[in-house]
Amino acid sequence: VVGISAHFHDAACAVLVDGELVAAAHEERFTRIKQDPAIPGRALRECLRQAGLTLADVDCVAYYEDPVKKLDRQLWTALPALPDSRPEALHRLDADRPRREIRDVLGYEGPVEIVDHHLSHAASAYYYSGFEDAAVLTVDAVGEWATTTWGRGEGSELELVAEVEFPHSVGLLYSTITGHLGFEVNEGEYKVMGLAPYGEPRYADRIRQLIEVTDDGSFRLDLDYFDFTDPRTMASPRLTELLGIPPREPESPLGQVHHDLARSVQLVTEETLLALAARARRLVPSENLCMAGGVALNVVAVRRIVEEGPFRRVFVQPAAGDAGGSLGAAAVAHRRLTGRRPVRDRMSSALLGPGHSSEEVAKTLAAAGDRGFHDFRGRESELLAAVADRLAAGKVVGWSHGRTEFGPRALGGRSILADPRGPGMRDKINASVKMRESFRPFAPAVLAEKAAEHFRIDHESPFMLETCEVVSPLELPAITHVDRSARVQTLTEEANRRFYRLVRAFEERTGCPIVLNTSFNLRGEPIVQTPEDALLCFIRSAIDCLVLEDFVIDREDLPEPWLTWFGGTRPGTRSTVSDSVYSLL
Amino acid sequence: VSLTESTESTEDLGRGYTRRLAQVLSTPDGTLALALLQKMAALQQPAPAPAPTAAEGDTVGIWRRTRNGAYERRPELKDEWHLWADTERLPLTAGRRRVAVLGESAARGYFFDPGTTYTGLFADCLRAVPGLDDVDVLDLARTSATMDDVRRTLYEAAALRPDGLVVFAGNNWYYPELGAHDRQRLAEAVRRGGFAESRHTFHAVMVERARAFLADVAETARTYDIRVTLVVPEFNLADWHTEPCLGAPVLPGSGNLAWQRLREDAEAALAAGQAKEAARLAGEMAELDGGTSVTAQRLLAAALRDEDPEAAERALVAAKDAAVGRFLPHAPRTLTAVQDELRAGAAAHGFALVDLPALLREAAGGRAPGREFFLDYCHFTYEGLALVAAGTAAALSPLLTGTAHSVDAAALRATLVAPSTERQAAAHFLAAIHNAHIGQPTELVDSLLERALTLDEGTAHHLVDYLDYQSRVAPNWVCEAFARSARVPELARYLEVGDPGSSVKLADHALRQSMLDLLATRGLADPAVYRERLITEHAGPETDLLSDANRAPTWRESADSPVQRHSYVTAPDPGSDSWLVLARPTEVELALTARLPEGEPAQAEASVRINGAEAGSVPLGAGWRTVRLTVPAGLWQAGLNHVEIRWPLRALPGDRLLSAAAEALERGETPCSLPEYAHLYAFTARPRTD
Repeated sequence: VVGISAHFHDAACAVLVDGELVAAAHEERFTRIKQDPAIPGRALRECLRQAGLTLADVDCVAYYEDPVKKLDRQLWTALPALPDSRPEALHRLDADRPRREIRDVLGYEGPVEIVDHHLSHAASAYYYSGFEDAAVLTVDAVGEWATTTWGRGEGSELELVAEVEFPHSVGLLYSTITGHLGFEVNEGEYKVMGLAPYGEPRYADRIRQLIEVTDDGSFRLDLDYFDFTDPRTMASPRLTELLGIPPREPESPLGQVHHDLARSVQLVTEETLLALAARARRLVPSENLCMAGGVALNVVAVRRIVEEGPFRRVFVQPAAGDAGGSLGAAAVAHRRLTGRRPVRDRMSSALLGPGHSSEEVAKTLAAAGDRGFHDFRGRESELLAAVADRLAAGKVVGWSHGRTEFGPRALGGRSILADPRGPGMRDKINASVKMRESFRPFAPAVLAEKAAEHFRIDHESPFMLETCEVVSPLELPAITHVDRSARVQTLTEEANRRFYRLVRAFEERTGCPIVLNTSFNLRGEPIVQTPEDALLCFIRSAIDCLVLEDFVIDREDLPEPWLTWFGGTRPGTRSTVSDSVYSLL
Repeated sequence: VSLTESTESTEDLGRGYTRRLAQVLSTPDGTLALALLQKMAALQQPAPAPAPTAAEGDTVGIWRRTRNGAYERRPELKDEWHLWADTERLPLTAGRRRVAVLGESAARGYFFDPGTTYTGLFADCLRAVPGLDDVDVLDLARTSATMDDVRRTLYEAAALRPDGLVVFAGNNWYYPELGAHDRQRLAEAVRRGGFAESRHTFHAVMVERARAFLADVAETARTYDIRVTLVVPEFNLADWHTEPCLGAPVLPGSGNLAWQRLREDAEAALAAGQAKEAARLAGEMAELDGGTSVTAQRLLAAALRDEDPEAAERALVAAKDAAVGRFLPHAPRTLTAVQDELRAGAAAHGFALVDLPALLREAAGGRAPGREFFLDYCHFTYEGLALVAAGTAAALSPLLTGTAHSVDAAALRATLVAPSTERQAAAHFLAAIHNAHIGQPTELVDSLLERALTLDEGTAHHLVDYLDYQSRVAPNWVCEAFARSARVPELARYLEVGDPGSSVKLADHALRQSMLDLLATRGLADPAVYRERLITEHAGPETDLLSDANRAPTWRESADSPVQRHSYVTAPDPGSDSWLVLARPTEVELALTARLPEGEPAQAEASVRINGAEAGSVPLGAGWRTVRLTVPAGLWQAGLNHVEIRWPLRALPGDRLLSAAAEALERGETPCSLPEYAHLYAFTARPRTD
């Protein structure tokens, strides 16, 4: 069963074989078009190849939302215009597109299962949680009509029991303020979350005027402050009046007022999500909560639900955004086809994309001639020692090993790694490696057995999906946010193998069982996928050392022509998805 | 029932209506209906404000004005530098007159650029004209410039207050940006008469655009008092052969089956020396395809060459125009109708004219121009460049000198100093690669390589390096041999160093074999060593025979080509080729996942040939199926092997495919205009390892 999410942003696919997840990948990683929404033909080919299958072996394709319901919402949103005839709406009212492109572009002519957007999200959380029963909460900007749903999972059964409909949307509220703060909508929400701890919630009361959380744990937006039909903005002029803060020009300096606004919207979002979680418990009296939808990637809010919410256990789908809808759609289709629950075990790894063998890397690097690149094939311990030495010496390491991650987080497949203890490391990586805003924090990856010594966390966090307090006796400025929080990834040898052993080797040298771990890409480009992508990112940035499977390349060994051709250049920032407004088309 | 009787709120009622509308409009026809309504509504909306006709900004192309008034290259556009003149600063000297040259790659002197350029030769000619030694020439031509690019540069250049302007563009005016209403017109034309009809509409759109462009040039020239010279581009009519994927498009009814059979017969007749019969058959092909096929016209030209040279040349011109308007990529060219529009526009606006079709024919002794002036479809040999540059200088000079005396182009040309044989050899070497990658015949590629080595034996190093990096799995830019080649500025430009996207690995084995043969005869390469490299790099336990490196000899056939718009590979011809490298002859299991597109019969067999020998056949049907064929060791050889699949010739549902193409246009998509003989999802080879 193939699950597909596409045609909005961040297209992806997932492949289930006999109900087990064998591969999943984002289309953007292949096309190098950030958030590529195109139907994921390349990702599908690669996922099938990994599974040893072809299209002839596919029993069913599941699509992650109902195009008829979406068209209904699109038609209604544009009223009284019918149909919406703005230039940007041309050809976007196309409910036939999913089936047509599955047939014509992917070449699949078998049965297609349509799965509601939020059911896809819910399934991506519940079926992959390993729970036998759970309440399910999905929160995003908008799917077809629903923006928030509550669901019940029990055994193989999953149903949605309540919902909030567009235009009332926590995701759209957060995105509206993200846009007001001058960040990219649908991408810059992370930045707002990162900016929030620098501020005070001075505007929280004004933000609360935008959203009314009802006694029963639902909510409504005050639509006087929003205009989701204007292609240039998501807010009405009244929003600026209410906030008393003009929209910030992108890339202009950030002031305290922006920090405070970010803090305020973050606080109100946390409060709202706590209320939604409480309602989930009232609706479904389980001790388990499963979460998905883009808003579930708000790790600070998730942490509050874990700590303050009414559930004993919480599972968040690591690909909680729309890409993860492909996992859920595939799971629902499997359930419909077989009557059985898919995916018996809890999802333990997000390393679901393609990998590249060491032999492939060897051939690639051999073409460059004798350059002094280090070949550690068959000598993993020496490789890890060499890399750990470099990390301990303060080097920034690009790390490409094994299969690529599914979801927005780099988890040791395609990561940039560094020593978290250095005082200037965060600024160095933000400024000259990632080339992004200076305030943005980095995440730590820590040996699971040592996590509690350094972070206030009592359970595994393999997917970097919640924050916790840094309580380490070590100074860890590069991964400690201004509020002493950190977004932790815990590592086990079973799940993380070589990455785990690398951190252990680093600990042996430094006494620090933690490394800084951030995604291996430059600002505006998708995470690297192939050895070539990794090499280019390495050359273009100020990363000191690149590890490609069993090979180590130090910057000083890079051939001069490579630096001449690519040094100081940036990857093309191609994207077909608007980042100024949240497209409702 | 009165609408006002309902007790539901307006909002609830609206929800009810949109819900039902969405259900009704969720079909393919519903999508088309919505698109039509949107386009109709757009007709009522005010037209967008016209773009400014002149920019008074501080940038021209990749250059920006600095505080001291100089125009220097913009570092943030480093990725684009290789498309423009290789100069850090524009030559702007106070008190001197200026001539700006706008154009595309032909005006850059592609293959010779940056060492020798059209603009450089033109400037040399201009300097040879008495009274014009105070003129600076600004080279603002850009490789791959679209009409909009040239227009933008025109407006930017106006800020430099040039006295003269040369516009040498049009080769890239073959696939305009199509608006929603253009697509609707084209859709209706496809419905009326297939791609033969839509082609006329497409050409009309192109002529309209050219006319508007010329009006913009004229307006700018009037505003800033600039003397304009217009160069009408020309195509390599005689020696540019049919490119892959430019046979007949989808034809009405079962026309494609008849057309393919006529093609086979025509080619056989031509090969047998039966020119008259070949001409008759080619004529039937052209009648059937309505002039949309390059193949038919080239066959016709070949068949008529001796009997009726004038008709043969008309067929060559028709072949050039046939490619345009097929919704497919093809080599750049200027439509005959656009050439006519340029001539008419020059006359109407008072531009000086350099009519290359006339100029080159005259220089060729009245024949259609060919390889003596062109290194490919539109880029010139040095002889061609010199001729055009001198012709341009001769046309512009009177406008600048203000005298009525005509200037002798031949005399100007005689003053030019030819580039070194090394540079000319490099240009021929690059042209050989370029020709091969657009599917030109081996004979042509061989002649370019031969010429390169004749001009300069040292070019052999470039061939050796090419064989090295192109045979590796590593991206070209990673390869040491590529870096060696890139030290030569002309090679660096052509190879687009600095653009990792240019590193497409193609199965250009015919080109490589030509290089290898030429080097081997000179004792400069050992075929055994090359074969070993192929084996080291490509032989393995499983080979993907659909990867570009194993399947696509040309860009057109590569996975990134617009021709391949599905996530499976389509066969637009009745045959498909792949190449397999084996360490030694051994039994190989081929596994093919394929299907036959809609057509009759629904089930049929495809035959497989290995190195020219029959290896068996595989049954195919309408749905995907994976079929396996074990090929004995005796058919294989160590090193490179040719795997060929011959698809069954079937009757395709032309009318339904044309209807689908029209609908695609109405949805704002690019239609599939090629017939499809098979779809391939996977094709792998597993050599036996014991």
